[in-house]
Formats: sequence, C-alpha cells, structure tokens
Amino acid sequence: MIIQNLIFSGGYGISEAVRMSAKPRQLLPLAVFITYFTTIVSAICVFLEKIPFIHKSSEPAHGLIFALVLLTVYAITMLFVLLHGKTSPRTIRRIGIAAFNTLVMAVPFINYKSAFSVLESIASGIGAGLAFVIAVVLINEGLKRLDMNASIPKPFKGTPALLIYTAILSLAFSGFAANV
Amino acid sequence: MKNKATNQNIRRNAITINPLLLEAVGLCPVVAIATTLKSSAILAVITLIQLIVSELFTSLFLKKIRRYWRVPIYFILGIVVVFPFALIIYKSNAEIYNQFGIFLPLMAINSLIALHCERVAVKNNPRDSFNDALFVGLGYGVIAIVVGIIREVLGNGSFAGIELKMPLKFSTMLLPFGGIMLLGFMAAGLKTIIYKYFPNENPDKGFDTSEIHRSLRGSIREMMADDFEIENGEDISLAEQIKEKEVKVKEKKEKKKETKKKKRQEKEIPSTRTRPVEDRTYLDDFFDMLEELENTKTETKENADMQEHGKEGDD
Repeated sequence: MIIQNLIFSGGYGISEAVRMSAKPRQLLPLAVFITYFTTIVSAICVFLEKIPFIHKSSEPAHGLIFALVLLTVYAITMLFVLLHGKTSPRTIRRIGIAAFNTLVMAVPFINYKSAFSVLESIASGIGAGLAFVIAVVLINEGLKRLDMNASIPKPFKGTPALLIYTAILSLAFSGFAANV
Repeated sequence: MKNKATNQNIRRNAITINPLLLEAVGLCPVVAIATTLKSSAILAVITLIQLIVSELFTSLFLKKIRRYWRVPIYFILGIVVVFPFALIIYKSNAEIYNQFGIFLPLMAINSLIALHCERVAVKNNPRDSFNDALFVGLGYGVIAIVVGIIREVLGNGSFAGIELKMPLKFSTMLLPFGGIMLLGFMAAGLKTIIYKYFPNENPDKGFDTSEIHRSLRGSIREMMADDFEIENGEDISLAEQIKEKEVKVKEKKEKKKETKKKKRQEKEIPSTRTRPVEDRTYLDDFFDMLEELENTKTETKENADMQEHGKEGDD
C-alpha cells in the first residue's frame, strides 16, 4: 500500500486518481468498488494459474485470459445490480469506471510475474484498492492548497501544478520502494 | 455551414483541451511506456487506431444501447485492436516486448477512449466523431513522441537507439516521476500558447475543480442514504435533494406551530411564555423565615426581662 503503491511507483492508475481527486464526494463508493474488483480478479486469476494448460501459454494469451476474467466479473456484478432494481444510475456509472481501469488489470499481471501464492495475491488486490484511496486523498489535499494559493503564475494554475505535485509524490513513493 | 462550425470546434477542442495535458486522461501508458522513441511511436499509433475504430463503431451502432453495456464493448474493441500488435511484437522483437512489460495488454483499457466516446461519439454523427478521434489522437500522439524523445535523450543518452555522448544521465527520467514532471511543464507551456493565440478559449474547461473543497464526510452520508430515482430524465444531485427535504421539514414544523397558536387563541389559554415570572425565589422565603425567628426571639427576651425586672422591681 505505502511501500509499493502501484499508482505512484508504477503509474498504473494515475489518470483515474487525478480525475477523481477533483470530486472527493465520489471517492468512497469508487474505492469500495475498486477493491472489490481487484481482489476478485486477482483471486480468480491465481486459481486459474494452477491449470497447467493456462500456465504454459504465452504472455499475450495470459493477457487475453485476464481480460476475459474481468469481463465476466463485470457482467455478473451488473446482473446482480440490475436484478436488485433499486440502484441509482450514479452507482452504475461508478461500477463502470471502477471496473475498467489500468489498476485493476495490472494486479493479476504483477501476481503472475512475481509468482505470488493465493493469499499474497488476494492481499495485493486489497492493497491496490487501499493504495488508490491513499493516492486520491493525498492528491485532493494538494489540490485544495494549490487552489487557495494565489501566487501561482497564471500558466501553472490547474493541471500543470497538479501534475508536478503528483510527480514529486511519485518520486517519494518510489524512494520508499527502493526502485530508484 | 454547421459542419464547418462543428469541425472547427472539434479541432480547437483537440488543441485547447488536450487530453493528456489539460484533462489528465490517458496518462498511464505515456508515463510508463514512453521512455524511448520506438515505444512512444508504437503507443501513439495504437491509440490513434483504437480511438478511430471505437468512435466510429459507437456513432454507427452503439447509440441506442445502455451505458453500462457500452463500456465493456470499448474494452473488447481495444483488445481486438491491441492483441494483433502484441502478437506481432512478441514474435518478432523480444527486446521491445520486454520494454513494454505489462503495459502492452494494458493499452486496451484507456480512459481516454471511454471518455471521448461517451462525450462525442454518442451524440454526433460519424463524420464529426471521426474528426474528433483524428485530432485528439494526433494531439495525444505528438505529445507522447515528444515525451519519449526527451526521456530517452536525458535518461539513456541515446536517440532512437543511437548512442549520443552525453556527459550526464538522469536515470530518474525513466521513472514515472520524470514523465509526469515533463507533462506538467509541457502543460504550462501549452497554456501560455493558448492564452496568447486563443484568448477566447478557457483551457480549464476539461478539468472541473469546483467541488474540491467538499469534505469526504459527505460521501459517507451519501453511501448510507437512500438511492434516489431519476426525475424527468434528469439526475438531481444528492445535495439538492437533501436541501429540498430539509426545506419541507421546516415548513411542516412551521405549520404545526401555527395550528397550535390558533388553537390556543380559540380556547383562550394563556401561553406559557406570557405568564409573568415570579420575582421571589426560595431564598427570599428563607430570609423571611429568619426574620420571623429573630422577631420571636426578641419577644421572648423581652418577656424574660420583664419578668425579671418585675421580680426585682418591687421597690
């Protein structure tokens, strides 16, 4: 979560994090859905790895399999949600944003490359979701202070200052992971 | 005439609201992959093809489908476009594939495509959406290539594989840190250009910062609150609905007060507030009691003296 924050040290979910930091009231539902997707997808992919047919296939084939898993998980959740009937369209939109995310796709790949066991992969999935929360909270705090500061020159207001701030944060987190 | 105006608008939007720099969309591949010229060129080409294919497909076939089934279709289209490229690269060149690492299949998911398809392709005809895809893809690609060149020259000391004799090598440029930093400064440069040459355009359109100062506590309450249905085809925000509820509750309370007042006036019951407050308290009663005791004591003393004097006063 902190030491190997996927968003900052690997750059896996930056665009979602930056866009969501401008709308903090949507943070918690999104974070819940993202953790849900990452854990389930990583768990299913780890179980599928044990089948020798899949284990021996090449890397692009692995990519296809992970994508198919994600699609089926999304379809099943949407069926449950639609059958429940009382959900607002906002939650449905959030499920869509949370499911199709570079962060959600990256977790099973990392598990595959590092050869994690079942428990470790589930933990990495939960950690990815929590890392998203930490990232968005930090960027939101920075955005608030940048917004209140009036002495920023005009061309740097808005996204440029925000991007430079996230760059410094990512440097800090990659320093934690000793990747420099 | 309409087509010309919309075309100009779309072209301007691709430059003035550049997706990478001013909207912060589609950052993931650029930040991680665009470390060399070759890889950034491949990235630019693939995203351009992906954008055009998905926008044309949505504007032709997917307008009437619900939103939550459209999103996985973008994903499927992305896989269909990216997977052949991935296979070709995997079989021909192992070096570039290792450079890409995880990100080659991850290019299938790009928030850029979903955003632009939902914003433009669903509402416009195929020609306008093709123009939008072309210009946005070009804007994305140009910046990706520039970032790739700079990161390669400063980070590796090479240009398209050819080694240049640079005195210094900044290896941190190859990390995501370098990519985001470069993008930030390029965004500032783009903003100066916009302020100079397009003074009527507002470059902050794409990134809405009006809701920053809302607290995170509100989101917990929203998760627990009831889900509201759509009214008149519009989605009313939760804050407004809560306000409407509070206003209604206040009106109900005021009505109750008015009815109570009317009833009291009819029955001529004095309201509790108009009764005069007593000035006396329990302390005043206590002091009265003490005075009475003192008076009685003095009386008994006088009686006692009178008796004594009476006894002695026989002379």
